[in-house]
Amino acid sequence: MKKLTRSESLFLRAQKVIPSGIYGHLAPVSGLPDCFPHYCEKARGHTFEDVDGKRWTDFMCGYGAVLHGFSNPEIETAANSQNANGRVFNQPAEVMIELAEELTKVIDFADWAVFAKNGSDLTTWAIRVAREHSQRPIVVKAKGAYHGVDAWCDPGLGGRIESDRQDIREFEWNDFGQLEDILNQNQDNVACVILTPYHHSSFGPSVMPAEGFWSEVRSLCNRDGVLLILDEVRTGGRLHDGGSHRYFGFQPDLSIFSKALGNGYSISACVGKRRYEKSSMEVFLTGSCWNDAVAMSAALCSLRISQRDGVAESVLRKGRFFSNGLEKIALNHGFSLSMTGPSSMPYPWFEGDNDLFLLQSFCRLAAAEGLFFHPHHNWFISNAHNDDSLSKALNQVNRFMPMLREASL
Amino acid sequence: MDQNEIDPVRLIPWSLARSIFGASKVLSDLSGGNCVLEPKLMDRNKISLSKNGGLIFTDANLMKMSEKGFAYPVLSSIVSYPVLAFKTFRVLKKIEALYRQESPNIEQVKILMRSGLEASVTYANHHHQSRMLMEEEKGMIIFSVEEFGVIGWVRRNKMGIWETGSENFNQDASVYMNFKNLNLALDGTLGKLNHMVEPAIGNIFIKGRLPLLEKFGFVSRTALREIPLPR
Repeated sequence: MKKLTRSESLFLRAQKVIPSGIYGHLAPVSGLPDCFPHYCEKARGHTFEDVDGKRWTDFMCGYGAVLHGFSNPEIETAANSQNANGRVFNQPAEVMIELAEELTKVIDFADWAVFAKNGSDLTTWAIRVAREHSQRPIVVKAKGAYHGVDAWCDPGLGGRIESDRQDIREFEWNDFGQLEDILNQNQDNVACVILTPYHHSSFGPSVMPAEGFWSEVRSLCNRDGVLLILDEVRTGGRLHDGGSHRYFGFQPDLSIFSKALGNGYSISACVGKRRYEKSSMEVFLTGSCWNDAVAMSAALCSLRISQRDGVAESVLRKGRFFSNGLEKIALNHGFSLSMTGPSSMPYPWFEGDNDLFLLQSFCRLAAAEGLFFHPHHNWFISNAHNDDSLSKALNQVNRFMPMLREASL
Repeated sequence: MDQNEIDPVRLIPWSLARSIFGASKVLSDLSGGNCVLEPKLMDRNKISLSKNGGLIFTDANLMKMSEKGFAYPVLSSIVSYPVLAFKTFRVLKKIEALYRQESPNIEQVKILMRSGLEASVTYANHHHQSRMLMEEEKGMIIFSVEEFGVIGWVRRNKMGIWETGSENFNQDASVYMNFKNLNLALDGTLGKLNHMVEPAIGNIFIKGRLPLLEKFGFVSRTALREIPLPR
């Protein structure tokens, strides 16, 4: 009988006391359980080590929660320094003000900021602010877009009742006509349109906004007095250091950040224009550890590094180098591969591979080489990557591509 | 409720009847005989297990028969078609015995898999929430067992109806689910496996378009939770 790896043993231990052992997007069944580790021991920079001692070159960045590399020394120092004084108190610490000041300085349209722990906390809060402001019930979103774990938008299947989504309307990404129809059919009833900067659904190629998309959405929202909420939870810090709206050239009314904001420390932020401040004060917002000064210190440091080093441009450039390299290697081996989405967070798509068999095989071969590529979720380029680490990864891919050719025959 | 949906109260016995049909179909295919069952939804809360006469049960008694092993059919259906009624009883007893058989063989697994898949596709076609969930899905799922091959499949046909079968198929699937051995496959057919855990420990291997399997799995668990199985 095959000896269990430590990863498998831990998983068996876990599933006795934790439903499913591991749940959510980290559940092994969501990835490639036969070749991905279930548990991680440590991580630094652009690499991590699993509990069986295997070292991996990372392209998932904690599913986007890490932008400046795992255990970034500057951020750890800032966090440790705050931690020496404590992290959760009866009152907020001064760093909360500093962080709000930094965000309102960096994000051009932002006049205020509030904080929570996760993206979902604030996407849900933001639509309630829009409802309070507009006194209207309906929320419009793109079909297949992920905005969190709450009942109005979660991608799960259980625990739903019909009323959860009775005030949610969906349109196909990039289809202005559909959006306009929804707004026309629900005149004076739509509170907000909530969208991600580009469409990054799982199990499918990422889709960038069509030309004119954002200006069209903005003008439709203006026409009907509908708030435009930008869900930057996944994209924040990866397209533009001042917010992805600047990358695409438009202005939302509220934006929500999380993931990379704390570079691994749990924090989320919603920023907004002055005119929505009063409504924001009417919508209750709190959580047990939401004034966590350590996470706020980490976020402040992370934002300053992004400004100082031009991190968004840097990861976009590194991503371009890597994506172009991968596409070229694939072509040399007879595969038509497109790295979809922005280069800092690309999702690979083999032409005609709608059921993902080829991509799954590709990621399995990569895993054998110690490259952590996910077949069902967009990848992330960490700023801890450099040309050497990316070139090395490309060489590894080049080595196993003949095996992919064999597997695909 | 649209025309493809069945009254939620009647859906459970109807899915049970379809499930019995599925099992009997594989049973007769394997033995080279004719399948005597083909259920028909009748008025006044009755279900006929054969298309042309044969045993008729009230919805409640069909459920009772599955759960307790015996329930009275509508008396006139035995009197009118005694031979068909007898054959039907024999098939029902054979199927019931398969649920109690402890050491699995491939025939048993194929029959019970088909039984479960029939109930699940009935939900996928006629149960409101399940229909909504499966509405945008298409393609095929193939279930197999290591060293034994295909034990069942589910696909959406050109008419948009979900259907199931057990024979080997010359069509590429969108997703494949392979059980490591017969014991695991049997537990899977009876809804005893943890769908989140088994793939993680190598007992089930999955490849292809996961969302289709995830949605069908949810529909299947809903059906198996509601439909009474023999104890």
